[in-house]
Amino acid sequence: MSTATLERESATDRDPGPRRLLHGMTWLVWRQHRGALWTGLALVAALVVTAVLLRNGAVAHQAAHGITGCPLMGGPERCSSSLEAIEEYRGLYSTPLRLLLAGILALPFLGGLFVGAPLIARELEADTHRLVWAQGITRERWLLHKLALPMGALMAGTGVAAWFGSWALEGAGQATIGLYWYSPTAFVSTGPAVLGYAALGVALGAMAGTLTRRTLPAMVLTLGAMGAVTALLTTIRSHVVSPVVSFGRSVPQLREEDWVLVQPQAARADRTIFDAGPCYPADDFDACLAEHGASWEYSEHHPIAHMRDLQLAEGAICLGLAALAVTFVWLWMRRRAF
Amino acid sequence: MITYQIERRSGVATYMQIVLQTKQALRLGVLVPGDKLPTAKEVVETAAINPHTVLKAYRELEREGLVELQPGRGTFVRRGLGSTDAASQAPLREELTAWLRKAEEAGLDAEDAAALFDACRAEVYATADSPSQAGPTHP
Amino acid sequence: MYTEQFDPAAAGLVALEATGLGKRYRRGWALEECAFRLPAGRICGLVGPNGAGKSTLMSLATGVSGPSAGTLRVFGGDPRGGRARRQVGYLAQSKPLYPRLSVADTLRMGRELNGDSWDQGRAEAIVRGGDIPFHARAGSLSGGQRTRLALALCFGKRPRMLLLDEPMADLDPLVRHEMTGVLMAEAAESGTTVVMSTHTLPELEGVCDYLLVLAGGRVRLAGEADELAWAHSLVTGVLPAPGAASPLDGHTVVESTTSGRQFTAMVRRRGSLAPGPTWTVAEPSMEQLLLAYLRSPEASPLLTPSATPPAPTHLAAKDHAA
Repeated sequence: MSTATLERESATDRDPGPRRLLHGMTWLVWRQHRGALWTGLALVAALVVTAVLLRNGAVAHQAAHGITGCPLMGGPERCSSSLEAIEEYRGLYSTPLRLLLAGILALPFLGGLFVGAPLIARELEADTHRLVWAQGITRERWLLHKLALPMGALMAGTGVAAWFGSWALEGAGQATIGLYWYSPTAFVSTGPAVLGYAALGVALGAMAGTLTRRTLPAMVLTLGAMGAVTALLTTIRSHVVSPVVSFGRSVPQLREEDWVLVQPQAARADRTIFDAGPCYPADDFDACLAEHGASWEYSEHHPIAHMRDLQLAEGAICLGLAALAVTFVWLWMRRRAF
Repeated sequence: MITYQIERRSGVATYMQIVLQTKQALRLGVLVPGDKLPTAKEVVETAAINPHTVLKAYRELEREGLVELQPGRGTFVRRGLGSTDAASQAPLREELTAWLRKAEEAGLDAEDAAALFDACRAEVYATADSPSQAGPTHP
Repeated sequence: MYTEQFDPAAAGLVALEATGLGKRYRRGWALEECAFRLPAGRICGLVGPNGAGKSTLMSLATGVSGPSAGTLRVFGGDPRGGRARRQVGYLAQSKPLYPRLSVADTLRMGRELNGDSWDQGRAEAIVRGGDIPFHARAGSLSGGQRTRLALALCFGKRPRMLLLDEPMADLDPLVRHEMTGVLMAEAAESGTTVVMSTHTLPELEGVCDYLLVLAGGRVRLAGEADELAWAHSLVTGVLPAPGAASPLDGHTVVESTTSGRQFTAMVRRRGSLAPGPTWTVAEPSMEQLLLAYLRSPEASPLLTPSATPPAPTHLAAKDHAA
């Protein structure tokens, strides 16, 4: 195999020219993960194609049946008789769209599982960290490349997929399809939060690798940790940004896309919710409420204007957690003597 | 070309084994003047021994005037080691045989005789073969 | 401070120098008050029982960890610095390789991670010497081929010093011989200082010209192999009667054993020690010497002048000079 020799000889003869894109640690990381990279690219491409097909189909379907912009109930005059058409539309497009968004949400998990977890664990398993640490590069540089390149690639791929996901949802019409931005399926996979999740997947995977030193347990741990973080963030999501609180004499005007946290209901003057149950049998409901001093209306909601803030805040929380995990891996590496 | 057979557990220093095997090859005519000795790299690759050992052996051979180190080219044989011709060996051989018979009569068995021979040889040839030359020279 | 003209080593360069070197882990001191010196160009055996501190010393010398006390210098510099990292090669006992990388890609990794100092031709020549196909995956190679490829990576880096952790431990005798040959040939060609740890003592005979013996985290012996052997005698004979003159009088006994009327002793000579009527004196083999020291942890350490770091006072140096 003299090609390598020839290459080297000719390389020294020629003037060096621009540096190759793939050199040093970048080459090694690419060489180690090229299988995962191609798989990931294929996955993202499949999601993008699906998104384009879904959006085009949904837009055409809505236009053909005159239901563009129509919610299931209410809405403008032209939508009043389209209940059946919308239900048919939802029957056709709701499930594929949900699957698309779930697929996008799965990318950070898959990245964490199949790239993040083996990142350190496989090196420790095969002792190859010693091989690389004995070469002419610093361990800091090694870890930086090892973490940053897969993380960047996963964030880029997931970001592209999420952009197309949000584009598909927009074309399908949230109210018409009945899938809103704040639903657990859509919230992460159609906005910038997904970038934070992608970074967190790789970082948690690497951390799990340093803890377990074995690939398979690291994958299990990564999946568990990612699941726990997602469940936690889904629970606290609505409180990360203060919702709009409505308190007044009349029922507030809520829009179809608003994320209603507390439905408008009877409240007392001190903003405590009144349980209107005993009043239902009463002849005069309003009088009954007034009798109990509950003649106020209380509600909490996130208008769609809060969407970006909420998504960015959740992304920032994920990035913060990822930074903690990376710091942990960094300190582990500094302390480890082979 | 000569290939050295190094016996690690023989008790003979490795460099001395190279010296002795080279001399043996010179006596047998395996090596003749003008021949090139293998390079240190070649020797250590086949014999799996320390390279300094080979250089030490070659320096010893050079000190005895048997080989010549030509920088950049290698180590070459300068002169052969003709064994003393058979004619001059014959009387020595007779004397030794006579001595061995005497030893046998005196009750020495083969091993006793060999031990005595070795002891005497060590005395006579002490300066040539002694490993003391390998000893340290401290400033 | 050390200057080159006082160095007894021919080349005048020091590959490794430890002064007051200590390394403590949670479970205690792995190395303690180690002081020694390894002149450049040597092939040094690093010997000691398990847990003697060999691996700790290697990880300090490769700059992967830092000392808890004292200093260790590699060619005069901090092993954790960039210059030392380029100068020092290391091969772990498991001979790690990326199993899914081909032989050609493994060498490419060496080139990518070592930059301008990488010698592709030399690395390829070592691989070719073993008839290893370049397209084969590293994971499919035999033990000997793995070792050869790992050595090719080491020497391709063109290190001034190469640290090998039990390099021949898991090889069969034939492959062991072949790999030792490769190692010696490359060391001969490049003048690389080689430090190889081992606990198979016969492996060292004829291979190492320098010894560094550790036990219990401390240096027991350090210096030229033949000088160390030369400084000792193996005395065997009839046990002298109590009160009678013993051949060992005046010499330092490293280890002595008696069985019945016979005694055997490894002694560090002070002055001459001639064979007597009831005892014989022999020069010990490297293995006998090492075993004696490893079995006698209480014997005082011995460092030859070239292995003694230039500290203002050093007991071991005085001991040896006497």
